[in-house]
Parts: sequence; structure tokens; C-alpha cells
Amino acid sequence: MARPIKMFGPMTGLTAARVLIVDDDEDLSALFVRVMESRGIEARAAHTAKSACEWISREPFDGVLLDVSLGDDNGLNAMEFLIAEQPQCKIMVLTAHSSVATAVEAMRRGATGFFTKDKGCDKIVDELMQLLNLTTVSDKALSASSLGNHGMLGVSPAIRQVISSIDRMAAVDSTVLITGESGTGKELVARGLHSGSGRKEQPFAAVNCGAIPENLLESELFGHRRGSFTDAKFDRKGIFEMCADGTLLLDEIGDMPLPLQVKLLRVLQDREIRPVGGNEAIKVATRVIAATHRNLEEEARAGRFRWDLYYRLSVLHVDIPPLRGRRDDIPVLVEHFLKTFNERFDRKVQFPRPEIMARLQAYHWPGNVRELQNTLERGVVLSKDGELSIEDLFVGHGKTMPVRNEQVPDANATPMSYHGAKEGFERQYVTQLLRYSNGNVSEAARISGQCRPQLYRILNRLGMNPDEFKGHGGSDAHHVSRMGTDSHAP
Amino acid sequence: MAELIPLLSELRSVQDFDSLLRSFVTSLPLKVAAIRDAMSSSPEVAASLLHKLQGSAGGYGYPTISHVVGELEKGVKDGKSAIDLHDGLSTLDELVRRAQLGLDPAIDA
Repeated sequence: MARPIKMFGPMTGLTAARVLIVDDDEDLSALFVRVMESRGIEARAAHTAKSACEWISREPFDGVLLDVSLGDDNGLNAMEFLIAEQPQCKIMVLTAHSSVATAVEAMRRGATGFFTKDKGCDKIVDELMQLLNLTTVSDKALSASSLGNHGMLGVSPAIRQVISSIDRMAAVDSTVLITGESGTGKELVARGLHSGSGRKEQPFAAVNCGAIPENLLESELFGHRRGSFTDAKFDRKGIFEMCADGTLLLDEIGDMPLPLQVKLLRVLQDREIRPVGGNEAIKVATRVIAATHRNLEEEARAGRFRWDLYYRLSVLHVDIPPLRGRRDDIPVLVEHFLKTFNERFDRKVQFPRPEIMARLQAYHWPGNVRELQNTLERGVVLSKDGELSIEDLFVGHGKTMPVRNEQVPDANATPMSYHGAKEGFERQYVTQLLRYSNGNVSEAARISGQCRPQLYRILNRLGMNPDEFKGHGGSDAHHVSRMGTDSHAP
Repeated sequence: MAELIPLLSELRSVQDFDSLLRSFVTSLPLKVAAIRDAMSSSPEVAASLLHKLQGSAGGYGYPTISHVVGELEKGVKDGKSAIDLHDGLSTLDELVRRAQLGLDPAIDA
């Protein structure tokens, strides 16, 4: 499996890792901040356990460099809070001198690593980067394709979780439900599950349940016997039988008609099929993977999908986040698609300039990775001077350029304070999140990659009420915002 | 008296850290003076200051200073006085002077 690498730095345009330095020595903290920033890490410093906890309550961090001795306080005492608030965050303990007892205690409480300060700041940061699975821009030569696994590309925690899920689910035969918006790569995940399994030499088939009329779909899935209907001149095997030892993706399962849902449920329970017009049962060991862009629970509540089939299908669940929920992956995907289309069209179009990348990352990508792929193909084909341009990339979007212009500050305007700008961004971002999720904080938290308590804290700090966003029409409202009519910018 | 050899930080080759290094080295005499004062008035404070300096000196790429300060910290914790630790303190003074000599003169504080 490809190692999970987070690539960052000004050249890549990717968001940096975030590290909190907790040290009562302000000089040393300043040095750590400077060294980390020089390597593309976004560093914050806290000089007391209390202020460390405040930072941790406010912002997510990939790692914490925690001094054991914080004046009168013991840094280890803050660990419990740090771990409870941000369990994914790695804590590296820092001390002035090597002490086995301190190291053991730190590890026992959940620290990932242990450094003594006499190593020197730069060496400590080097080791910290290794512990965080980070690599510097000097490793950018690493092919983007090698970053992915099962064809999935990306560096965001969200996509790494998807890849990790595929790894763990591939080896078993359980049914998997894949959810995600159109264009997020549901079939790619299904293929990954197949190719990572012991069935990889067996057939893989995908059927779009929403694209085939009901009567034909049954025949397509289970086969038919001669004479079972007017055009059934011969016996015909169904896809289940053809994939008896392989994997079958039932795409857009949410569109499957109710009567057929009953039959599918029986197949999943009994592991046997009955062709249309036939009486005999045929044993199959097909692994079924279902995919949908719909919320099946909502469909079931509305009576359009059977609960029992939902439970049967969702033994394992992979939810693929929309591209707008993992913007850190956009540069990697852009690099990958550029390479693909440069090779296909014999072009040498360069990696986009930062301002173009900023626009690509600001756009909402309702068509997700598929839309990004198509956009890059168009950009490469239309490129005149080996550079991507906004006009070429978004040709056909007309005057309502699908980018949020507020993301690119006016160079001539007087800059606002850092805190003002940050709060403005947060307010705008949270507004967008809540509009999109229709005021559903759980959904907003999932999209943003934040835990719910963290999102509630942000809402409280900004004085925002999620209930005010209920009834805004979900993604439609979001779409309007995308087209530049959002008046919530501060 | 033998000429002092400049003591260079291991971070000297890292770009953009000159001003931070200069600030740290310039503050060293004051830090050592505070440690001396504390040794006669409050060994606990002295140990704490030494502990802190051991860490920051290491972090700033001066492992020799860090080592000597670590030895002094041990001495203070063992109940030794400034007189007992005279040799160690003299070594520290000398290392601080050498660190000051090692600063790039082209960069004016």
C-alpha cells in the first residue's frame, strides 16, 4: 500500500500541516515556529498548559510539540485534554534532557514521540515531520499517482480514511454500501474493493440500476429462461451468475424499483438466484457492492427503499466526501490529470500558477472529481502557451464565473487585520456550510472534517444559530451562493 | 591569554535564523547573571532557569552550552553552591563569549 504522505509547501499549493508548540520558553518557541514555517508547517505557540488547551479547543492540529516542564506546570498534565479534544493529533513530548522515566510516562499517556531539546531545533522538526508522515516539497517529484491507492488520489484525511476503509474491507465478503455524490468515484472504490480482494481474478461487473427499465433489470441481474417473455428466444445468464465468484456493483441502488428490491434481498439472504421464467435456484457467491448518491435512510423513511434491504446492504459503509469537502486534494488531482492529458494530447501544459490554483480550490465542484477531470481536459486542450487560464478552464460558464472572487484579495485594497480576516473567512465558510447542510450541524461537521463539538464552539464564538439555516433548500442554496450571489461575505 | 575560538550554532547554516540566533546569544549574559543571582538566593529558581537554558541552548544549536548547563543544573539540585560550581560557571561564561564571537558580524543587531 502506498504510504500516506501529506505533501505541502508553497510550491504545491497544499495546505500546510498544523503544529502547536507548547513551551514556556518564548525564545525557543519562536525558533520552533520559524523553523517549522520555513518548512511549510503552519505553527502556533502556547507558553502555558492553559493556553495550549485553548488553542486545542479552537483549532485542529496535526501535531503538538509539548514541553514537559512548563514553569510550575507539568506539560504531561495537559495531555489528557489534548487527546480527548483531538484524538487524531499526534503529541510529541519535548524535554530539556533525556529521562527514561519521563519518556515512559509520556508514552503511557498517549504521546507518539519523545525529543530532547539538545538535539537542536532543526533535527527535532525533521523527526517531527517523519512522525507526522510529512514530506517536504523536495519530494514533489514523487509521482502523484503513487500517492493514491486503488486509483484514489489525495492527501486529505478524508480520502486517506476512504483508502484505509478499502484496505480493511477488501479482504472480506461482506456487502458494502458506497455513498457519495455523483462524480466522487464510487465505482473506483468498488473496483478497489474487488482488486484488493481474493476475487480479483474473477469478473467484476457494474450495473446502473437507475438506467435500466424494471423488467429488463430483473432479467439483466438474474437472467431468464427461453420463452419467459416475448423476446426471450434463448436462455440467458444474468450478471449475478456471470459474477458468481466475482464482484457485482449495483450502482444507483437507490433507484431500484421496490418489487426488485424484494428479490435482491432474497438473493442476498439465500445466496441463490432464480432466473426470470425459471423454477430452479442457482447458487451464487457474488460479492455485492451497492452505491448511491441518495440518502438511503431518508429514502427508506419515505417508503421508497426497503429498510431490511438497507440494513443488509450497509453491513460495511464507505462514504466518499465531495471534492469541496477535501480541497487539499485538488492540487494532487490537478497534477495527476495534467500529466494524463499532457500525455494524451502531447502537450506540456504547466502546473497552474498559484492564483489559478486558488480559484480551482475555491470552486465548489458540484460534479466533483469527474467535473475537475473534464475541466482539466478542456484547459489542456485549449491552452495556447503551455499555461492554464481561468477562461479556458471555465469556458462555457458564461459571465457567472463559478469561482468565489472574494477568495482572491484585491491587491490594492487596504488589508484588514489578521483576526478580522480570519473571522470573516470563518463566518463566510460556516455560513456556506450551514446553507449547504440545511442547518444540519452533524452534516456540516462531516463536510468540514471537524468534530461536532468543535463546530458548535465555532458557532458560539461567531454568534451563529444553525436553526436559522434550516429550510434554505440545502445544496440549491449552496449553488446560488456559488454563482456569486452570496451576500454573507463580511 | 589564549585567543577564544568562536562557538558556532549548528543552526548557522539554516537561512533566515540569523536574527533569532543573535537575539538568543545576546540575551545569554543576562540569563547567566540571573542564574548566578538565583544560586545564592533560591536554588529552586536557579535549577528552573538552568533547566530552561539547557533546553533552549540545545534548541538553538549549542549542544555544548546545553551540556554544561545541564551539569550545573544537576549540581544545584545536589545542593552545591555557586562557589562549588565555580568551574562550571566559568566554563559557561567562556562559552557565552565564544558564542558571541561566533555571531556573524555582518548582521548588525
